[in-house]
Amino acid sequence: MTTDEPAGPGEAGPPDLPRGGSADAPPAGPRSRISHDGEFGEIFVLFLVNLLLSILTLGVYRFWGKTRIRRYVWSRTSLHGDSLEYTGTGKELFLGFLVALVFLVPLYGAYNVVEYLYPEDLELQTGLGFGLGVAFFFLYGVAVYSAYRYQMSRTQWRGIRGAVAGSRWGYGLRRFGFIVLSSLTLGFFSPFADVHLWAYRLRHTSFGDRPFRFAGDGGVLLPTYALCWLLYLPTLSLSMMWYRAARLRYLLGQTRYENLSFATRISGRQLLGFQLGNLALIVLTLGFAWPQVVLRTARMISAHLEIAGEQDFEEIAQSQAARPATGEGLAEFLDVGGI
Amino acid sequence: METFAGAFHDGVTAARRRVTVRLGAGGLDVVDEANAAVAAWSYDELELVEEAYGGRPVRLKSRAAPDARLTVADADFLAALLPRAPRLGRRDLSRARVLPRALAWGAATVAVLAGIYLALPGLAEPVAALVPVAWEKAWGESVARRGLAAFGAKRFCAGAAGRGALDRLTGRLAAGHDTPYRFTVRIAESSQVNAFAGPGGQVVILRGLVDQAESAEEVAGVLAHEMGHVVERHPTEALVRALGLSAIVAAFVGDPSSLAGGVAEFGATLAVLSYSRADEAEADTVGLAMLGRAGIRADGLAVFFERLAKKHDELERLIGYLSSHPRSRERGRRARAAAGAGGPAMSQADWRALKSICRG
Repeated sequence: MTTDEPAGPGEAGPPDLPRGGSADAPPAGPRSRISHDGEFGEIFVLFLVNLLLSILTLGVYRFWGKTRIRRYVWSRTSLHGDSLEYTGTGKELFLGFLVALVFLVPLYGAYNVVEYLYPEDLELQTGLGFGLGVAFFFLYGVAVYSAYRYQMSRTQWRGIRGAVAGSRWGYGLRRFGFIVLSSLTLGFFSPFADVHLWAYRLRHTSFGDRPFRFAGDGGVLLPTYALCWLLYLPTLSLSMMWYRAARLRYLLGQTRYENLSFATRISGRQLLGFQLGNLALIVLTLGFAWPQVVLRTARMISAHLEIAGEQDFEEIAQSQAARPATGEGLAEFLDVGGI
Repeated sequence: METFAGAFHDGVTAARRRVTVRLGAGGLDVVDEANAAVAAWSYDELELVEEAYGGRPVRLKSRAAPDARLTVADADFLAALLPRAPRLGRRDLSRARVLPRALAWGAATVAVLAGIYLALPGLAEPVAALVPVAWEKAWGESVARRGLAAFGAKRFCAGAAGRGALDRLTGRLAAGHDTPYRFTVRIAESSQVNAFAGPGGQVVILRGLVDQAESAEEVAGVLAHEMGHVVERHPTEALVRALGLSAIVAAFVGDPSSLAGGVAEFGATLAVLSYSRADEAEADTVGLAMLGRAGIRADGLAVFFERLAKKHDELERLIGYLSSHPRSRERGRRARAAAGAGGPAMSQADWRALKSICRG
């Protein structure tokens, strides 16, 4: 394994990782796996409690219910005999929601006010609607990064915290720009966009006082993407699952943390089966099987995520990074998803 | 003295140390394999990191060292610890059984949902009574505009003579009726056959209905019926019901943005909301009273409806009105019974003007 000086958060990764990726042999070292042993009965009870109390409180309770469920899921996921820990609170989510409310309600309201004052001016309404659409499209990326940063800062393992640096506005802007570029290139910029966005996230993520590292090149994924693109219509868009599996294999394969490397051998077919299964579960039970979807996802990750390398964890010190005070307000509004 | 094997993380590095935990007099004493003291945590500062389930390791932290963690796998540990640190009981689920809990919470959920479903219609009326008239007027204008869109109408018809005729008819029907609303009655440019009422005195009749009517008394009947809905606050009650339902659904789904946009959306559906039979009967009664006081023939609505029902070839357009204003024979008979007395709704000139209101 490489012993180069790891890059600090925010800097471009050092050229210690070969850019080829797919042709490299998997790193040597003992294998470890994440395991998950959540049970459906237990998580389903949490889901029911959340549902009932949310209805009774007109939705206010859902922040606490969500926190409870995350605490359960995190605590049933373990590595090397120690489980993860979720230290977020319902209050933090609730405050984040209120903050987002303060900013977003005027936006919603402005549109309704304009509609009320100028009901005949269709051009103004359409223009404003388009502007708002663009704004929300951009804000979605901001929300995704903000939620990621919050959850990582509230995740601990062996008492050591995760942290995410970087700027959610920067991420939102990049994501927005990349999507525009992808549309302009009929989608062919996507592999590059995907790699750039993953790189931004990973390089700004650290566990304890050490960052994750990543070096990758979208060009490696381009042939696979092109093939899936050509097969898009004949396979009714299912071919994209194969691209997504290839992308996951590449992105994980190029990710490092200290002496550890990551990999997955998940195939397009496995990914497709997984997504279809989740879809069927949700649709057939009108959403009540959602806890099972959560469990399936956790089990999927633990089954397919491979970690290799020998790491002395005593070297990893506690993170000194500042933690965001509240989180996910925007994500709550824009329905970013996740648990 | 009871001792338990455990794992300790000091929160300074990610190292894991094997330790032995002793339940001391004032707190937990944690020593490592060389019997060196690792931590001493008093009982009243102890907290469970997450809910403790039966048969699983217990994880503790202390307010004295917020990043450190102590994990003990022994099943008897928590039971031995609880008497000394009763506050931990709050997160102790070790004796809870899944199935009874699931059934209990599931039953409670079903009961609450059923209760809300049953109570909501009854609650709508008193809540609607609390809504300020100014709000109703604002809502009404929004509903009227959204109703336009719902029926594919682009504008309200503005023929001056027709508007005058309509206003005079409205004035006759409203005269003497004690209501805080000022009626705003308009014809919308749409070939569909329908009419609806919004909160705060808004009534919209579609041009298609005026086209289908063969006498002014029929239009007067429809108008009086809709004004009856307004006077009895049915549109506001329907809006409150719809908002209540959407708030429940939003809570269910966890989607806050739908609350923000909810009011506007339901304006459109109000236009084709079907009121309950009790509401329809009430509107009929009030409408008949209006027609009677104004001295207008009261069977217009019944005649209009019966003729519509016979017209099979125009079923498509008529379905709109019929489906949102279902009537039993009972109501038709009542309307006919009251028909005897009463004169014309408006002059022939006014009727012609009303018929051509959309052409000016």
